[in-house]
Amino acid sequence: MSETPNTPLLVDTDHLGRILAASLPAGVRAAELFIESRLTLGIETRDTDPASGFPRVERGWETGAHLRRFSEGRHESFILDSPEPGTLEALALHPQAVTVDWLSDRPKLGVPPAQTLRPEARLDQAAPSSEAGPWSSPWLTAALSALETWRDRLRRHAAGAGFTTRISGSLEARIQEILVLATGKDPARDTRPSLDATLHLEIARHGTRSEARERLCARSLDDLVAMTQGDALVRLFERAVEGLDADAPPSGTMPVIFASPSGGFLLHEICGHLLEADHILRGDSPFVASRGEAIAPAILTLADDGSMAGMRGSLLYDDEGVAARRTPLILQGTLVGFLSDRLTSFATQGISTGNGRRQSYRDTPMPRMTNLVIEPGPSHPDEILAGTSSGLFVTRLGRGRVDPATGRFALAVEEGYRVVSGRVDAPVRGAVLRGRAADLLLAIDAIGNDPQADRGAPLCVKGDQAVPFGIMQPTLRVGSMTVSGPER
Amino acid sequence: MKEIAEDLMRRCLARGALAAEAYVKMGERRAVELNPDGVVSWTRSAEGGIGLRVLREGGAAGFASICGPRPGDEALDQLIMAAMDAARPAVRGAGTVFALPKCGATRDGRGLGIFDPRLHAATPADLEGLLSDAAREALHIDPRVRRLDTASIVVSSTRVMIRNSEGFDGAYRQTIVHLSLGAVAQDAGRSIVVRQSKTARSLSAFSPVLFGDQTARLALSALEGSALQGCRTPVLLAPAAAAEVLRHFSRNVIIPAAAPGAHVTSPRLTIIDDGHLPGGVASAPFDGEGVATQRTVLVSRGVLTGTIHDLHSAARAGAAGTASTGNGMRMSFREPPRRMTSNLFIAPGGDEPTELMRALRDGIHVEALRPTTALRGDASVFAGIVTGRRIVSGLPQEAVAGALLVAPLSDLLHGVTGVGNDLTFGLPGGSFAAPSLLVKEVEIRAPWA
Repeated sequence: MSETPNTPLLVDTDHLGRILAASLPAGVRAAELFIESRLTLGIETRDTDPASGFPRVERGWETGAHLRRFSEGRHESFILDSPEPGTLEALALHPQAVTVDWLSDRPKLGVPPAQTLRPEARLDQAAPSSEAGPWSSPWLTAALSALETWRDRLRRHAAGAGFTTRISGSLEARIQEILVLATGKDPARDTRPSLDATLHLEIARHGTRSEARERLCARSLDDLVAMTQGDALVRLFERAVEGLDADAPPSGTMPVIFASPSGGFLLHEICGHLLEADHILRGDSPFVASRGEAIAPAILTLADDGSMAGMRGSLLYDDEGVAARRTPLILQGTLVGFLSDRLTSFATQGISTGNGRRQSYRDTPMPRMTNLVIEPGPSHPDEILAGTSSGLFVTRLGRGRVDPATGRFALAVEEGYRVVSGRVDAPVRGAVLRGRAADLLLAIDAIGNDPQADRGAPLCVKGDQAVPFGIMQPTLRVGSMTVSGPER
Repeated sequence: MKEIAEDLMRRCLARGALAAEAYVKMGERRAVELNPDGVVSWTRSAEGGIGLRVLREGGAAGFASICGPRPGDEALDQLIMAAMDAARPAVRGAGTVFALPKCGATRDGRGLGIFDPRLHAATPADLEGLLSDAAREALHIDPRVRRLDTASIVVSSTRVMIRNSEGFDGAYRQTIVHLSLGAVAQDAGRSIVVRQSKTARSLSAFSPVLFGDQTARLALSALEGSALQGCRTPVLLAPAAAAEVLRHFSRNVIIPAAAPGAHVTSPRLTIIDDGHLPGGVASAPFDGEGVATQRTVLVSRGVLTGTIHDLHSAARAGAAGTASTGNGMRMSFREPPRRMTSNLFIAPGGDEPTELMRALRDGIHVEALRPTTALRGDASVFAGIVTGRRIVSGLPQEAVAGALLVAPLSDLLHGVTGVGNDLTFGLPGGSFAAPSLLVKEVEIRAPWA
């Protein structure tokens, strides 16, 4: 089944780019036009709402444009949903003159009368094809079938062990196409298909209940189905069973091992966000004055890399048209870089690191991570475990909070085990990890040689915007960390 | 748009839909932001589109949306096909069948106080002026409030229209203004950021100068505030803090865990959802599926008396006389109606806040609660970062800040022993409101220890 995007942004980029450059008013030093087309499909099925009986299916198609003009001390943005033929050209030429009259019974966009409109300078007005992608009927049928298959397998598995179940499943498919035209830059196009699935399993037996959740991401439905062919669903069930008789967590200061890639989310929070150039420029990070200093042991090398093939946060170009690249952040323990977009690039020698990202054309880009990559270390993960006499072994992190100004964090462990005499022992539930970013980085004392990509669906949330990002992390050990019981 | 909506209805029925509904929302959004580096960002957005819901045999419902003011013929065709195709049969057995409202619109929002012509006509210079007033006041209070981390004002003016194949045809206009400030207070190497926001339907409903003053004073409280050691203590929640607790509680309102008649809060609390509240941020003449909005008492003197419904949940409830309460809410044309609260508030009591402070005797007056993540797996626990003052013998003393108030929600709500007469709307987010609440005991702890 084809999943080729089918809403090409039919724009004469040469023509529109020339207009954009030629139409800069006095005092405006640069302009950028971001154009986006997005097809979405959301599906939700749940046992917790049995009387409803129906899968909830929602489809959406939107196109839009966001023009930014940069002057000294003033930035102007003009955002249009679904620009009509010619409107893009008018927007590039005279954004102030494009009038909006959408409140009347006959909504319209007013285009300056002197405009010479060229049919090429427009978004394609054709609707998405019903033959391919998440708007197609066969695609929806296949996705619903996959969700039902997963639920049936989980239900059978649990019933065989004497459990009753409640299972919810959801799937979100997106095909996003972007085109960025910026003065003084080549046009940049990118196509970003993505598919996120969530399964939530609640099991009950003899009056006791437990639950577990699995999030998966893929670039296509076939890939997603393949990811559930192995033991992923059995493992989800086993995790729920472990929760029934898990021990209370150990408490105190102890070594904590983050199995690959479970610690990536924590490092994203403390190395991703706290090394974003807007935080640095505002003085809102504990690493403001640390560039060139050792902030971690020499075994740690950490980068942001949007150019890695096949990763969740990989891009051809960021949302300002800057080519995705690898940006070293910590090199052998030394802080060497920050993440910037165009506006904050003076924190990075005037060059954007290609981290200008936005949720949609309605939003303004901000510096954000693409993929967090930690270089593998010398140790086999079994050696790291064997060298730990007691502590906590973390395989999945849960909810948490971080104070960006101080780098303090508190993070729940969703799935963890005691470490006893160098072996993984009984499961524990409810552990909370606490500390400061700077202390945690300095306390990393072992890195495994087993980097793995996170197959879940991590989201980077900043302001009101959420964008996907990827994690590539080997096993890590933090030599000393505060662990406590659940917060209540 | 009427013609397009009518055309959509005709075409949906011709393709076998039993019923169809077009929800159209269009308008303009203007925003001004003062950035920390002194740069002014100005944004104008023209946004809108159509959400199409179709009902098919057996109650199956499908939804699709498309943006833009005038979708072409082919695009409309694809919209219908996408929605029809999304209306899939029930997974197992029969599903719930529900009907769209038949009557024509009787209310258009006039008199409800949700459209302000002055706000609709506000120019970028007007908005920049309002924002500057708030920012100037915040920076004028005390030299320790040195800069603003964020400062923005957003104004939306939209028109909403619903038309369905059963004959419902309604429309209204609305405006909304959202003002946000983040004040940075610094002293002796310590730096605190306090962010506040206020939402209203009209310019007359709030004062940017007062808002700037309040935000700066809260930032100073947070800066001066001493850390609290872990303890259990009585607290007086100011309206903004109590509204945060109510916002958390709203999830329980949608699908209550208890049966009607159960004692779910202290007998001092009465909780009301009112989608027809004059000037309410979530007020509208009808909800996102055309049902007239109304006032619904959810908790009366601590006893669960009702719940909110949209058309689907009312039909699913199955009980005779159960009808939609006008709570099929939509945030945009991009999503189908969802069962959500509208303007949710705690009814005011008879006590002056100063009387409640005297009744508190020794404890904490929580002026603001910044919700944070409770590090547990369910939503039954509320957690928020406290900014406030210690109260000794009924009188305010030194500022306290940064501690974590964490408590099971039911303990918080059952523990209310006094309700103020100072019900305040507009904070936080605008659609949740509460008066001051006296709570007999909660746990306060250091958030990071």
